[in-house]
Amino acid sequence: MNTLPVQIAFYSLAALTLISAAYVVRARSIIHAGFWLLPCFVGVAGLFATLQAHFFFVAQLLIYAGAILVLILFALMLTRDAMSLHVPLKSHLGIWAGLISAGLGISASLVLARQSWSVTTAHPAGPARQAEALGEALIGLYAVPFEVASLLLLSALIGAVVLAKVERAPAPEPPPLADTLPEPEETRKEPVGVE
Amino acid sequence: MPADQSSDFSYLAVVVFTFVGIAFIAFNLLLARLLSPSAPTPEKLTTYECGVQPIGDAWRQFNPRYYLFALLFVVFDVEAVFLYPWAVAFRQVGAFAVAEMLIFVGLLIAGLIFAWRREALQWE
Amino acid sequence: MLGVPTEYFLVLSGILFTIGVIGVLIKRNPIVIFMCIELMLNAVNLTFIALGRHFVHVNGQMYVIFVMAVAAAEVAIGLGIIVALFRSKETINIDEVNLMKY
Repeated sequence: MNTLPVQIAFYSLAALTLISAAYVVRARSIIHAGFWLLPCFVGVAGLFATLQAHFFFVAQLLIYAGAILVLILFALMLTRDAMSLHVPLKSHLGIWAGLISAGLGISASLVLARQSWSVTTAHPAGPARQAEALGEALIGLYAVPFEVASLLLLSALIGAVVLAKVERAPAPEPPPLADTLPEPEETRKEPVGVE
Repeated sequence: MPADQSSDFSYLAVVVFTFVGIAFIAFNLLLARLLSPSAPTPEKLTTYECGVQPIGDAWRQFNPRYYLFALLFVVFDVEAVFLYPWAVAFRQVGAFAVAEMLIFVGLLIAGLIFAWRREALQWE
Repeated sequence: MLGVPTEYFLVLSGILFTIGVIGVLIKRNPIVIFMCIELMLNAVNLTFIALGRHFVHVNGQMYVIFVMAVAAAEVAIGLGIIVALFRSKETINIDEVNLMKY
């Protein structure tokens, strides 16, 4: 395998992923954040490709860039009025939270990088063989999780149908007319007080 | 060497396709900008040159029905991803694999029937 | 010899995960928080795939399939809850939604 093209691909995809992820976090408008998610997911898919995980290259594009992103954008459009512009998008403790988590992340990365990962010389299998091995594991060793995943998807389906079910809108009430309005409390009590 | 035997599947075609796609759009947009005359007047810059003035925002609250269909799409997309490795491998395993997949798909079909019975798939 | 060493991928996914954590902590809109959770899940998937290649084992890839399934179910239910919440309360500001029951 030629090393240089893979390295170029890795660095450019890493830059694409990280920059768009940063834009997801710092975008002012929520809809921009949603759209910045697309290059991030595509970049991760490309990284899967550089790792020779061919099936996950496709699965990432199908599930994340295809389905989940569409769902998130739909949810943004459905709740769009909720976040009016005068509500700040960030909470006030953000700086501290950001600093702490950045420190944690950087230290974790340092620890990972310092670990001496012995260089593997084994080549990953070809695409068809990989998918086959995956399928065999899915049917054999992972049979129970496989069925549980189906159960999970079923519960998600049922929950989604129950949650998103649109109630039948009640018939619009006729606009109240002046003479049909209930009388105020005081005017009705007044005769009692006079007697 | 046949494609499924090689350890390095080449993504050259994908890379070339991506860049050709980006370059095609960029080139055509640039060409349109260079070639087309630009003489903006206030009338030309309105949304509709003739017709009523648009009121309010283009962002409307839209029908939550669409959201339900997107939800169903997500669930069945994941199912397709599960089906793919199974379809490659089931020949080696045989009847057990078929039974497993029947349970898997059967559960999701039960969910689909539930959605159907709740009239979630109906467009009012 | 493979092109890029494993630790590069691990550090990359560490940074990606951290970006997601920051987003979850500082954002108020639950949908944006969901997006950041997706970033974190992507970082974890990247780690799994990288280590799966490193140890030449199918387990790493197996986990990713299940993470993807769980992520899809989570998004379906989570966003469904948010949309339902918006329809009943007309707000999804995470600081104003402080009741489990409405």
